Amino acid sequence: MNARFKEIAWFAILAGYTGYFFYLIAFDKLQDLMHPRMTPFVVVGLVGLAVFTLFQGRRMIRRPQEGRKGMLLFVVPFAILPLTLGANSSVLSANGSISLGGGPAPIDLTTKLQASVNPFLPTPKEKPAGVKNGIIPAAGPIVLDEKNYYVVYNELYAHPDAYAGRTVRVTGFVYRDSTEPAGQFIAAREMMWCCAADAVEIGFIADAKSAPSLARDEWVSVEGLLSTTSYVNQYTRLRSTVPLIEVSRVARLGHPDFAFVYPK
Amino acid sequence: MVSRHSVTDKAIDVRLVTLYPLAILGVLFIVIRYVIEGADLTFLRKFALTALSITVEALPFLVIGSLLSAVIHIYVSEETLARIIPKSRVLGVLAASLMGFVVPVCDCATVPIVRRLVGKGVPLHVAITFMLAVPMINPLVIFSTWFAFYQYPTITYYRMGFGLVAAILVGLLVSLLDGNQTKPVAVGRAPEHGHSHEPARGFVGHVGAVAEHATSDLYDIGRYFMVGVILSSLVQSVVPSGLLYALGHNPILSVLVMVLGAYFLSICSQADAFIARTFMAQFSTGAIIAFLIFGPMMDMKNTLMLSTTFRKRFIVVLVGLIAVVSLASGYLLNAWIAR
Repeated sequence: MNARFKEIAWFAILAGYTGYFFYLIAFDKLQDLMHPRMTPFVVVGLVGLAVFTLFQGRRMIRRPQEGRKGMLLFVVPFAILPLTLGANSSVLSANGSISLGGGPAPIDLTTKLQASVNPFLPTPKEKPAGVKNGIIPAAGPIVLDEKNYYVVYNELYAHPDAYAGRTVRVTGFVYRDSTEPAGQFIAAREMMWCCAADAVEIGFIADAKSAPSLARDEWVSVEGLLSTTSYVNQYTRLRSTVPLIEVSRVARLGHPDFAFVYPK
Repeated sequence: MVSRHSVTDKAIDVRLVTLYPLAILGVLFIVIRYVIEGADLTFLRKFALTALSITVEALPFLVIGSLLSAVIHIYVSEETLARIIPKSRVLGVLAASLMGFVVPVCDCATVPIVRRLVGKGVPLHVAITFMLAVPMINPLVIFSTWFAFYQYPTITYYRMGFGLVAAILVGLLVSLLDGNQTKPVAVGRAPEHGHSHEPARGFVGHVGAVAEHATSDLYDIGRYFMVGVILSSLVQSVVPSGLLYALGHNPILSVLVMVLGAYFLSICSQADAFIARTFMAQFSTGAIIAFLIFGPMMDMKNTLMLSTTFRKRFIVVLVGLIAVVSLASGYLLNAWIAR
């Protein structure tokens, strides 16, 4: 490759990243890759990349120089980009296994989940919300949506007995592995801590013996009565009491606009 | 005017010779897996989603780091740095370790600076402490670590504390070695590198100079980051969670595995927190910290860069010291948390 071609290629790569960042922000696609709180940094990155592209354009025209090696590595993200288009968030659970519950203490499930696989983990600074905060309605169905999923989920796992008998509605994808009894599945969600690379699968065990057979990864809306069941974490072998949804209604859904849930 | 690009093109070639095969092996593995699984796209999609999310998340931090690094390179000379570092052994090590708080460059940038500092007569132990501490405790790295471990701010404190102690300890141990550790090369000579150093004129000229240096910095850092992204995404996509849990669950093995990972992945310290974060659920905190302090101090690419300046024996000793201190930090932390 001659010097000018390398400079043009580097310009194209910078322009490509600038354009991709712009696309993610302008078309609200960032949330499929990372927690929304990262958006300001991506905007800063976009501005920086745009400036770099501008001056690389000037350099490309004025004085191309040798010294660009390893450029193909920067093309990898563009090469794999088509694979992410239309990818269901549930692909992240492809080689994973869901992990519900763990410790006997009535604490934040996420803490339990993390602590069950990493006993040396420091306590997260985020405390679970309690009943006093009014996150669970006093009467009527408990509805989990994208905005309240994390706190309501924590609360239901922290005090599963307290909400037994209440009606709950939740959306998730069907997760099954070898550990679920016949007729049960987990209405799962991918929870993104920071970016898709660190997403973990969480969800509710749904007892749906009377429901039609559902395919794995199929998105469903589940409604039923909350109950409790004993759950053994397959990694820690710790047994704990977790919520169970005795399903009264299941509706098949398309892939939702907001596939991930995010801790605040 | 000096530049981080004082590492010669030959050295860069050597580094890339080690990185390309890794990337090619990764791609080959993906293709083979794809064929074996009967064209099932699930694995590929997981790999792609993971790799792309890490890239988009960390790239802004690399851009910010490159910009600040370029400003330092253009407006702060090594002579200034050398003038303010005390010549006393202990004071010199302590002062060099604290330089990290004000010098926002990553490990890719410090090796060439150290090469220049040693050439200008700065004592070896001071220069080495500078090289070890700066990539770990500079504002950008602290910030990116804090952000990556948003839910666990203690990780940032552990990294700063253990990292600072490790750098000082290794610096003091290096001070016990004799002074004949460098190769007989002209470390002060003007290097060949990929951008010009015409005096900047006017606002646009200064912005252009910074942007041009920053773009080069981004290019240099980004290549190693991309290799890290590919390999860590492969691990996340391929290795069964159960195996990772089993390895990471072991307080002894997990630290060793993460230190080896830090060495071979060679991830920039401005971005390594985002990679480490992906292993948070599977690996012990001691392992995560060992990864976060060993990686900025030493990795495969730094070893190769150091080989342009230092004797082989010194590099082996240095890598050994850093490894011992990092492993000890990880084990101590695990023991302390689990007590």
